[in-house]
Amino acid sequence: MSSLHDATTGTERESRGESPVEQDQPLLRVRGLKKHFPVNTGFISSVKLNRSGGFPLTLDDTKVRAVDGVNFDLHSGETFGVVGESGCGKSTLARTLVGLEQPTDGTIVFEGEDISDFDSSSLQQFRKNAQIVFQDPQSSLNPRRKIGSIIADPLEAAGWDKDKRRDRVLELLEDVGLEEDFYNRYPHEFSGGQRQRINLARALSINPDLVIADEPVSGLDMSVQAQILTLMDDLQDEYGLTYLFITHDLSVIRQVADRIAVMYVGDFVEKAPTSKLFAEPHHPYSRALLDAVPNPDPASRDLSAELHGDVPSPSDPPSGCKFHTRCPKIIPPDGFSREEYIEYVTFKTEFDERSVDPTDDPATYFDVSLPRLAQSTVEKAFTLAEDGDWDAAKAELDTHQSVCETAVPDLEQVADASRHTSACHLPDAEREPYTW
Amino acid sequence: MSTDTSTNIQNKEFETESGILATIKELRHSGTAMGGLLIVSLLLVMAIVSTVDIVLLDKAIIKSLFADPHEMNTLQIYAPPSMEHPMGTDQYGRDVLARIIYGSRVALAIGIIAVGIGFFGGVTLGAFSAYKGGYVDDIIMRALETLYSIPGLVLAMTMMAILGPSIYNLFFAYGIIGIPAYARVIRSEVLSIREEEYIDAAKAAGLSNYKILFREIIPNGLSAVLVQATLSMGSVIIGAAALSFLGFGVQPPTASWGRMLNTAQSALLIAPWVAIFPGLMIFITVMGFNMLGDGLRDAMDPRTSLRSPKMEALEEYADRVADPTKADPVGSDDWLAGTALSGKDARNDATDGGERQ
Repeated sequence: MSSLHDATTGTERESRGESPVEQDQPLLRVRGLKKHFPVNTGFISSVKLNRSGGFPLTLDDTKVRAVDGVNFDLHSGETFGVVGESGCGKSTLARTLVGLEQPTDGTIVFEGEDISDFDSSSLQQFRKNAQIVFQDPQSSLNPRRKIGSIIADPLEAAGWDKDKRRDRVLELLEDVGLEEDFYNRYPHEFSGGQRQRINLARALSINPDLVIADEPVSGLDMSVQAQILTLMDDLQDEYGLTYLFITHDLSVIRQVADRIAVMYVGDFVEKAPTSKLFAEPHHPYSRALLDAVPNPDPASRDLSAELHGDVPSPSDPPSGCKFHTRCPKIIPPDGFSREEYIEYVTFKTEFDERSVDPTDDPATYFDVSLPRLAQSTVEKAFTLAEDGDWDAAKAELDTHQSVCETAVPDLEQVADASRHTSACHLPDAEREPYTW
Repeated sequence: MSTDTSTNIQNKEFETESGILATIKELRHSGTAMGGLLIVSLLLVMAIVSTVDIVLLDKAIIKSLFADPHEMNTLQIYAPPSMEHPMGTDQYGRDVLARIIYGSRVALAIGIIAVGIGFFGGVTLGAFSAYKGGYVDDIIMRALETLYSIPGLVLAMTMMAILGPSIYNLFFAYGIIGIPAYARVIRSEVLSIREEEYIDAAKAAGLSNYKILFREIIPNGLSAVLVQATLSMGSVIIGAAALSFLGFGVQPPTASWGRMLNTAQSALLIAPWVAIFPGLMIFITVMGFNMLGDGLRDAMDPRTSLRSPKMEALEEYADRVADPTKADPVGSDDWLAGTALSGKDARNDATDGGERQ
């Protein structure tokens, strides 16, 4: 069994790439995983007044698409990192994978067995093989129970007897760098770093193959972060663990991950080996994220955060490529320059939110002058909106559309690098080489 | 490595103290809790002695000490407190002190049993309902609220009419009436507790719903209900009296504080002692349970210590003297560093404030 977890076999397997015909079985295979949450719970609260005429009541079945079709393979012994902004669905992905949420669609195959339905017997088996470490060291331990019994929880669920549980917990306490004496203490007696060690011990107690770590170090200060990451690394070697490591911190992920997926509004936009992603990020969003990392060099004062605006709402994600509303490299349609079209897209987003006053002069909404064709479109849209017909106005504005808005890009292999995939329409010829 | 550790363990005492024992040990550090415990134990002794007395000894003890609580004396109606009758006599000339001692049986039984039924029923139903959520929650809570909307006395009378006027049915009826109040309080607690990460952690560990509910959720929401339980003790004792007065429940001549209080109303001006002493006893009972309950709540929470800081320092010192090789308590260095830092911070804050001004 332990040879399965051998780190070297994991890397070998990895180097063969994610070809559709996999010779080796991945530890975890996720295909088209979706998790949608209804905005309204229950039938009664989803019935809304219909103000636009017709039948006076409508059924509001809006959904928050927290995870919207994620694919990946996880191989034994590797550390797979998932990064993204707050609210992009990282934590939901983690919770769905360990069965805390029922997936809306898609398949999760663990060691060749389909566990996406999570019926109780397969779930019980899966629990022995996959555990989760939570983000908040304060609230993830029950304040009224001693840590000895908290750590033994997965063992208890698996039916170990009391003496064996105790022996195992004492062994684990040592493994995670705590003292055996701590067995009978309560969580409030520990610091944040110690609590996270306890969380790790709990996750490892049942000797799982897969540990899903949901922002395990973001609640800790820098020096303790380093300790915990080193500990996780040591434990990976000792127990032959596979990590799915979720974080928003690029410097953390760079240190721990073998491969990284960049997540944006429920989708993976780019997947690449760590060194590749940091050296040659392909997707404009990955580039923007990397640009946002603070530069510790005091000589360079300018902060070049390229990303403007808010993350779009996952209940009504943008069409096409979800990043097009904020993308600095959007492909302009004929007749527009990129700068003009970015301006136009920003205006369209504002218009959709109806934060535009149609009685104003259209020119006040633009910093650059639009092409003549677009100017007349905007004017038409303003007249329509003034008459109260916002839908027609919106349709009018949509006469100019980029390919980024109309077509969803697939995750495609980037050039010759076989394991580097990215979902972007931008042709490689137009992509500038990336520099830090 | 594992064999090494396990031999190591055999020498050490790792057995966890049982929760109840630890709680009681912790309780002795709180003055008010000990006061409450004293009052409750005295009442319990009174109740047990009078039960033994009435069932086995035919009132021999109470007769030798004071007087027969059921014996009427028309010459001594409403006699004021005196050496012979320390608490005076009632409208039939019965000794109030003797009746108060005998009344402790009914008062304690109804207090403990009825509140107990309400407490356990309410906590279980409310917590289960909040934990399950959805339709289960709707059905259970709407049913309990229906129960809540009927006035307690009317509901109790109806139940007594159906079950028959016995004292055991009285306990039961008052227990059922209490359930919705506890259920609502614990439900609101559980609704927030179930969102805590340690609940998710327990689920991910694979613990059963039953264990999650009774080990992770309920202990964390219990303190609010515990206070509610000690406070409702008094209203249950008085409420039972009202039922007895209406002919259900406690039948005369059985002594009951609530009943005594009720019948004393008509003579409040000419013989206040008949009302004052039972009222005082109810007050003391409620206070005793309340003090005990408060202490229990603090003792059960590992985050609060009932020990005074001085005592703690002394005990720690004693520990160290007894075993100088013992390792420092957890994170003692952190503690020191923390206090030093916070002290410095405070000073910095002070100077900052000064500068700003």
